[in-house]
Amino acid sequence: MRIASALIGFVLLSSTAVLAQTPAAPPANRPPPLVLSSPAYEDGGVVPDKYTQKAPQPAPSIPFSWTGTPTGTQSFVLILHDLDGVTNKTQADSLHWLAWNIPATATSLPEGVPNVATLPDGTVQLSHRNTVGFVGPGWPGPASYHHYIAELFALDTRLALPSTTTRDEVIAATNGHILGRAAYEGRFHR
Amino acid sequence: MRRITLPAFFMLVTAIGALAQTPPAGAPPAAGRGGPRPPPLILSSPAITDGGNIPDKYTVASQAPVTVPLSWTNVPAGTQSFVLIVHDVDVVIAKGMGDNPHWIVFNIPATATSLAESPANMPALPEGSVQMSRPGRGGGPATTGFAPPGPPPGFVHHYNFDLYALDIKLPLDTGASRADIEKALDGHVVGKAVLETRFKR
Repeated sequence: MRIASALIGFVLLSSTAVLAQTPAAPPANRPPPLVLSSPAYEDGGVVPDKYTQKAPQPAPSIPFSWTGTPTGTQSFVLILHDLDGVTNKTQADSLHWLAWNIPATATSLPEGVPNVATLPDGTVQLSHRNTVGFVGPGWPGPASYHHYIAELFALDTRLALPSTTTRDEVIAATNGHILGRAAYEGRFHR
Repeated sequence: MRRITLPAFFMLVTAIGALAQTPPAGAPPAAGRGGPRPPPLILSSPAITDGGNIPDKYTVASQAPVTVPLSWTNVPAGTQSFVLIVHDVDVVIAKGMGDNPHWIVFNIPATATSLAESPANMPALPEGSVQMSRPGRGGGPATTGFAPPGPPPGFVHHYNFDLYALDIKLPLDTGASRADIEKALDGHVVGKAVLETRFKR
């Protein structure tokens, strides 16, 4: 009798658990997502002129901050790129900023990161377009926007790459190490 | 004094235009160096503001989701077909860079300038268009169509609509993978346009 009651109770509990798992219910064990944001403009909004090629150059870098660092993160990579436009008829888009080995303890990049290859905290910035670090949006427009997406990747490793590394090499080195990613989108034209 | 002739006026305007177009560092190179830049391919939707949120009817929040209506202007000279790639850029797959495709359509005819809103699982497409098939859930049969956005509750995901104008048609069928499609279009992109959207349920 006791065993039967226990069994019935178990079956009842199990069915309740199954019923409770409607697709809309978040799994209780899902960690909070990595979320990237910027105080400078709204997600999907227009990048203010001060961060762009409309301003005196070099323009200050866009400030970013993030929450929800995944467990096991050893470093972050931040990429800012222009999704529109075509280079040599390929899918390659236009890079505006690439920083890697951002410390796992970091939760932001301030406005105006210095244009040096290696920052005191170990962050490395790519040299491109004859500039080290951030290059602001510059699409001349005037009738259409370009889309500048900032993407943050949490890695389970640090990248042993020199600052002379190319974008493709950095991307290749992240393969198999991405624990989390988050996007923040901006638009701009002159 | 004679009035300025029309051709002379046109040349003057062109020259001023060329001067004004001195690309600053970082600007994408002009498509036709020395000539006026052709107007860029522009993708838009009557249903979603660029950079805005996707209405529920296009998502898993709907019982009968439909495709996002799209239209585009300024088709580049020499376009032979279009490829549309709709993808969720907030997903990590196997710790790699690859994100999650929700809809890939290729060989959209060069004469098309829009995709109509239609049932997500059976979209109405211009003749000749091919949809990439996706593996079915849980090992089920492959499916095509627009996979409506459905991020985990409370999570904001970004869905980018990328339209490529190509100078060829792709020699591929519905069984082609995303990698096959992206490899085949490499070297043939004559225009690209993006629509940025977001969804949270």
